[in-house]
Amino acid sequence: MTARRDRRPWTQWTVGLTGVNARPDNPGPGCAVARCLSEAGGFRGRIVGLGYGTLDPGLYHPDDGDGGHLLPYPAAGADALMERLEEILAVEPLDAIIPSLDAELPNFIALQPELARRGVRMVLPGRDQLRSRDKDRLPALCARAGVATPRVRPVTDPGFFERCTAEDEGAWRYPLVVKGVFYDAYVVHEPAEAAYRFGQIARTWGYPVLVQAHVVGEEVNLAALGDGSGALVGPVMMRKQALTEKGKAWAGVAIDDGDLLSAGERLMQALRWNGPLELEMLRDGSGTLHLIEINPRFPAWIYLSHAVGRNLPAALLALQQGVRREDLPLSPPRPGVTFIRHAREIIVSMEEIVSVSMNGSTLPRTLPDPRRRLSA
Amino acid sequence: MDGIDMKRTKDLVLGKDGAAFDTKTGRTYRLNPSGEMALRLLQEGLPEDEVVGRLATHFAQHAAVVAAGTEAFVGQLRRYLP
Repeated sequence: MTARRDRRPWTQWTVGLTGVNARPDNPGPGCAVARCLSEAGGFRGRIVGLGYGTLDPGLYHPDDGDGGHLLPYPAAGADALMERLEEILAVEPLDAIIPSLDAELPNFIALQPELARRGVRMVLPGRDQLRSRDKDRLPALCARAGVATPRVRPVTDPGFFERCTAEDEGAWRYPLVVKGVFYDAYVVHEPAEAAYRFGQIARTWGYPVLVQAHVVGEEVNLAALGDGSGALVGPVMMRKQALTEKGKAWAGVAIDDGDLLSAGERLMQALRWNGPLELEMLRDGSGTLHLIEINPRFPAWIYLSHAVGRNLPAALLALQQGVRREDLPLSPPRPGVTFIRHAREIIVSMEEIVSVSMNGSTLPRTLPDPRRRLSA
Repeated sequence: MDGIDMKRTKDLVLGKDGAAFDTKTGRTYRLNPSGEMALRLLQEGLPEDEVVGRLATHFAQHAAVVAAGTEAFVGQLRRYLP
């Protein structure tokens, strides 16, 4: 069974995508990844949403998807995820899964060998790689890569924010950034505000909460693939032009920034990353780039990669099939290409919602609509 | 030209009607005809005094006037192209 499926080109695979939530203020990357694959040249496969909520739109998307299934939340652990994936694989054999949320990666990494035995491909970093780009470890990574990054430290006691300006606490200076381990970041200007945000993040994401020095600058991002060799594959660079209230890109423009590219190459060499990633960097007034975060997945703006001729989700699948990175169809950079995000309603039948609520899966679909693929 | 990175001026791609797109930062600027010509000459690597001479000839303007304008333009480039 697996051998037969292996002979098919990636353009005919059934691909499971997570992160298919899409609240406009902070969308997951899954729907953008789906769109990249749906519009990739020659793609005739199936795109299956793997969501965490009944209202995740990527489960139902009429143009870029072929139905979907609910997964247990990451906190339920790897065993619960495997149990659910076994149910899904029984009705929908998946050739590949592209995880797109930070919190679920440890579970998928744990399951990678078992899923590989069942013919499900994933390109994921190792546990140590994943850990080395944790927010509290960025200074050590950046020291190896020769990249600037604001200092950071974990905080478990909100009283720290009253004491932090003292010499023996590190002489921190407000404003500071208070961040969760996985998500959320707030700029705070005084101790009471910092303690409030500390509590808010701790309640939502748990401990530790991180405090980071605040850098004033312009945010530039780089998305790329790693193949484990240390090479930066298919870099796509973008400057955010408009933000949501959560600081997510609402509009952005493709750029070609040699400094950002060079920093990306050094970081990739230091990490020897496997899979997709996004670098979030700030350029300060003097032009120095500071690494703020490394996201271990595609970003929500990844559709821009298709627009500039570097369809990274499609390239990821091609790499999984053994295409050499030199042979990937990656266009030269196209600075100036701009994206503007917009929210759009999709209509879902009552039967479909009931099916997801009751059974955890959308109604069975027929083969992909060829009209959709022909419009690519 | 003190403080101007010549390579950096080449990040500016000139389009129609004086539009200049900075491929490094994603910012777009609009240049008047003399600014557009000055930028093209600077991108070719001409020294500032030669740029002044060419502009003065092309626009039939006194060299001292052009020199002041060019100095201001170079100052703007320094500010906008970090």
